Amino acid sequence: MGPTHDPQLLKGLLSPLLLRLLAEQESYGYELAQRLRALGLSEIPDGTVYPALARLEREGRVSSRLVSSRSGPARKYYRPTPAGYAALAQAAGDWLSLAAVVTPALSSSVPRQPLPPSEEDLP
Amino acid sequence: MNRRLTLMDRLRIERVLWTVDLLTYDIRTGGRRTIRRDLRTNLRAAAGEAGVGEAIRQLGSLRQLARGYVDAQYGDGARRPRWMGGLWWAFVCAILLVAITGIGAAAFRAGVQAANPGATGTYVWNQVSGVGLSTVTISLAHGQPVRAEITLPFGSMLYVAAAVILGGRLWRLVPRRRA
Repeated sequence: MGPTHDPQLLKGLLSPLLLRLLAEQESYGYELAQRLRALGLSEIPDGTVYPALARLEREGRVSSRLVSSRSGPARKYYRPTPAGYAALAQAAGDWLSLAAVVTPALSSSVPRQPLPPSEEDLP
Repeated sequence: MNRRLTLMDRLRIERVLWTVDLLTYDIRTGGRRTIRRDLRTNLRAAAGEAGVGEAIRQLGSLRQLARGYVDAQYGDGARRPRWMGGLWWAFVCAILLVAITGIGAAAFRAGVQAANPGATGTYVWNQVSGVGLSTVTISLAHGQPVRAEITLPFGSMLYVAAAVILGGRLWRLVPRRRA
């Protein structure tokens, strides 16, 4: 079993992740949920993915079309719209710039004890 | 691998859809129909791959799923009325009105019979009508009830209307004044 991820952290990243996956290949809801699991994001329940897709569609960031399926009812396949591609580029830029600041701060070694206050702060 | 869904599998999926439909009642009918159709397709695909139990488990909390759909429809924390809440409180209010009136009518009849065990005639209790509740009329013959009539005045409907407004947060229908 892979490492677990904080669902709160993932919440804000779900839309860009979905847009990124859809930019690679058109998919329907359950297929996208499977692709997220394949990425190692097994903490995201399918029940979070489906409303997120509905939201992206309402916001005009993805479009959908029904494709008939041999194993059941027609499936709704999504793909990014130009607005979706723009939102993806924006979100990817935001994330990378945040990660560039946060990663060095969190990945440096943690001292055994915090330093005492600097002399200027002492009474 | 694609499993063949049994009748029981389909019924379990429909039960989930019914629950989600109930929890997303604030969304208009057409929107809920789309949600049901999409969810059914995805659940059947998941059940075909992993079994219906696993498909439902992977869905996570149905309440959270429904909240996600409502937020997707109206936006996070949007001011929207809660029609289901309004209907529920109207129902509770109507039940309370009937219960209060029924208990009051029984008490009134018992009081008349206690005061005059051989009472004959028509007795009207209209003290409660002043607060918008029912008027109770009972007819007795030699102390035995022969007829009872409870009329719900229009005023009692005000309580139900108030329950709909408060329970359904209908003031949210009024557009906010811009600052």
